[in-house]
Amino acid sequence: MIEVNGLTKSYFHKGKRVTVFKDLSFKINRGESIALLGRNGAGKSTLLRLLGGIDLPDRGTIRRNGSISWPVGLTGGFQGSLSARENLTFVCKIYSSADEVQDKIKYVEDFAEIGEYFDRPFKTYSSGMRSRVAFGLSMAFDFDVYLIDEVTSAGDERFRAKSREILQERHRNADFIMVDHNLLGLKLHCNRAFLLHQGKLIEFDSLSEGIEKHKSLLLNPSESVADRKSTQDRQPSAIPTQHPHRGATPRVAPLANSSQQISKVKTSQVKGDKK
Amino acid sequence: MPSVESEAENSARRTTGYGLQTVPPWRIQWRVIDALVYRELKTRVSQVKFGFLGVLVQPLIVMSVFLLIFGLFRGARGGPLDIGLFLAAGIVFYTLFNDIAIRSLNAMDANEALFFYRPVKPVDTVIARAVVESGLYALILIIIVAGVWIIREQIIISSFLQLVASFMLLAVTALGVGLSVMVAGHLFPFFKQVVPLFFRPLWFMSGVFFSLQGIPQQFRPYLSWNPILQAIELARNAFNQSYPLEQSISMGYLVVCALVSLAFGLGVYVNNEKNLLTR
Repeated sequence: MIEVNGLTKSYFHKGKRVTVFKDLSFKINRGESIALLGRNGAGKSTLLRLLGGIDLPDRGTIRRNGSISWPVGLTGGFQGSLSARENLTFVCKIYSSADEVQDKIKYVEDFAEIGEYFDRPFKTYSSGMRSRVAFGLSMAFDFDVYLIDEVTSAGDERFRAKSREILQERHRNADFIMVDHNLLGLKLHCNRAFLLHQGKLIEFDSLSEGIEKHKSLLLNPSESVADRKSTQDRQPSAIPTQHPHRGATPRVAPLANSSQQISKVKTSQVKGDKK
Repeated sequence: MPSVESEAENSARRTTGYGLQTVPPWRIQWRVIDALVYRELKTRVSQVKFGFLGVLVQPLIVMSVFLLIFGLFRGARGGPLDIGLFLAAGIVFYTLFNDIAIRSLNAMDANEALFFYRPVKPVDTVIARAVVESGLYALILIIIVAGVWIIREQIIISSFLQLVASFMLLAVTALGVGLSVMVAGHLFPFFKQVVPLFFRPLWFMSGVFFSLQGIPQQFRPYLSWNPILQAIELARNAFNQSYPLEQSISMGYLVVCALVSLAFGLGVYVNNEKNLLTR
């Protein structure tokens, strides 16, 4: 179980304080896996870092029962000048007893299937190879909750199939908090969704509902997110709206607009896949 | 499987929550330091040719150059002590202190990626570096002493215990300084440029190439406060008991230095750990 209360995080950048999110409170029960949604830069990775305990919040508390993995992602956690084997030895020396270290490394080596690259410096790896090693390493240990930050989206078809399989197997006694822009993967493993938008977190009890909202917010960021919550904490929209009658005739103009955008996005995705 | 312990985030303790619930905290820290020492050595070795030997060669070459320069131009000034040992004690001890203190400045940056694993705390990176440096310079000292022993063919260490003690106490003093310097460098980044400059004069004030006996009486009190000089003089006396020790030089002073420095460093660190961990 993870219980978060009044979590606020900001960064100090060039003399300005930038708030990532403010006053987040939520509870994740045992047996619930969460898809963390939101546009790029919404604070998903920051939230994972806070949950994983490798960054500290300005205010607020996080209570955890059980063990939580480090945020498994493509960046961080690996020393570029060392090989995968050396990096893994480092982590295994901390997280397992001395006699298990070699078994764990063997497990990750077999899982990653990156051949001789396993003994080359980590900085020479492609993002696919990185994700194989990073994901394999986290799966070598039994955590109650895994924090997975877009690590499966960089791999090829074979790796994705493998990771899907292993996640499903782990799902029996572990939970996930996943960030992934490949929404299909989320659908397989998660049963709830949290959507981060403009410093707020919206909870959805059904994943598909969350994904719908997430998609529409991507196309129209100024859209109100408050309709699920009480209207009093609605913020004035940061982006000036182009629709003067928005209050009177809601949704009509934006919908027409966004359906066009959807078709554009779709075609570009198809192109991207063929490359 | 799930533990009943829970943790309030704001107290950055290293007890629960990352799959190590059954492992006692001191054991976790031991593992972390062990892992960091491993990674420190691996990076060092990967930076030079010929593996671990290569790591030893560079400081050894520096030592030999100094030995040559001072040995040739200044003549034997070590009194009853072999000039090689006289200089080796000075250079190895000074470099040990300097390296631990200055490398601590960058310990956090160099290990940035590894703070991804929650058991790894900034203090561990400094301790790991201190351990690696101490081991490295202990080895170098052994090599030099062995070299001198082969040439001189006589017993050249009269008090092994005193030698080890002064070495270790100096390393602990440096660890304390290193911790303070790391925190200061994190809070005020300009410190990172200033600190190495600040340490430079110590080279001339630590008796690396002179003995305290060799300088005028009235200046001695101004130099003997320096724990590096204390450790160096003690080490020389440990090599050969007839090497004269000033009254102001004592093991007790060095012990106090080490304890005060370590306590201060840990105090500064504990009060700022949250700050160091917040990005």
